[in-house]
Amino acid sequence: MVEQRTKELDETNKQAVGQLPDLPKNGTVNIKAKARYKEGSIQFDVYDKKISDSEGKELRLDSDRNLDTGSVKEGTIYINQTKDIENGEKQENDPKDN
Amino acid sequence: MIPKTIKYFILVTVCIGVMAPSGWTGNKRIMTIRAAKVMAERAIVESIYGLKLKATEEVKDMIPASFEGSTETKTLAKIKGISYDDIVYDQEKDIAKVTASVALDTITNVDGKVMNLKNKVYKRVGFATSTPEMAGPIRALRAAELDAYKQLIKQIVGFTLESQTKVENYMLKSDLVKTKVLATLYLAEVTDYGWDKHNDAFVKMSLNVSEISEVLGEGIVDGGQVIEVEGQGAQEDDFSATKKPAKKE
Repeated sequence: MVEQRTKELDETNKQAVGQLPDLPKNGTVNIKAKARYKEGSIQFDVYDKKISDSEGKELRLDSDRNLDTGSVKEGTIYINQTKDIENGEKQENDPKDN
Repeated sequence: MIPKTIKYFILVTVCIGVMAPSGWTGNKRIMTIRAAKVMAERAIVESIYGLKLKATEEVKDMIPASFEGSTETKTLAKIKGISYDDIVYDQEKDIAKVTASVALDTITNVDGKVMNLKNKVYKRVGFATSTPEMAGPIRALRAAELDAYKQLIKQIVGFTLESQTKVENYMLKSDLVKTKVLATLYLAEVTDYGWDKHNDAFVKMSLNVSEISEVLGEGIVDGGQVIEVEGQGAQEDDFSATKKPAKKE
């Protein structure tokens, strides 16, 4: 009975994680999702996810509840993008570059 | 020569020894039946008024020995007019089975919603024993009942999934998976129950979503369907023996 339940939990999790679009080749994926049965299958609403690569570098940290707002989210970090944008802005506003 | 008083004392002692067991059985029978009535009453309350259920399941590294699951239920209601249609007592096993039924016009359920039951007759069965050694099958049946409630809630309300998963060459390996359920449930009906060849209990439950919509006078999720589930419960916790060494690591 326990083995069967363990297998079910594994399958449910793999189904939920497998639906994520940005899985790394090697790494870890931590998710929190609301699951609901619809027409014989489970639908997952992933409201929190954290994806890291094999070196432990965080690739993406999302709270999907904020996804649709279009504003900058505190919970979302795009590695190697934040710094580039900041540097770019500084260079544009730097009068010495003229 | 034995004095008369001693003879009389021996005779009385023998008589008590012979008569007593039947007297004790009578008391046990009454107590067991009374307990079964209470179990049947609880089942009726859970079916009609409803219950609150909180359940969690957790497994690490997909090792069954690390599996931890718990289900808690709570209900509290005052229902009048419960009758006991069928009372069966097995003297050899000291197990009583009571079928309780009730017909109500209206009731305010666990969510505080008034339900128009239109005097439909609801029936539930309760089992009990006064002998701890005989409690195994009854405990298994209750476990199966709770499992069925949980599955119904999972089907209707859904559940929360929390997991930590390792990805290796695009292959998923579940490290930690947790599920949580917290909801109320009412109007669940038991359609079948019993024990299989391994002595595990099963309870089949159904929930008629259209009927609930009608009773409540409002639409619920995907109307027009009957949700059916089968809960399972075990008599013995032979699984704990394999679990202990895993905890030490």
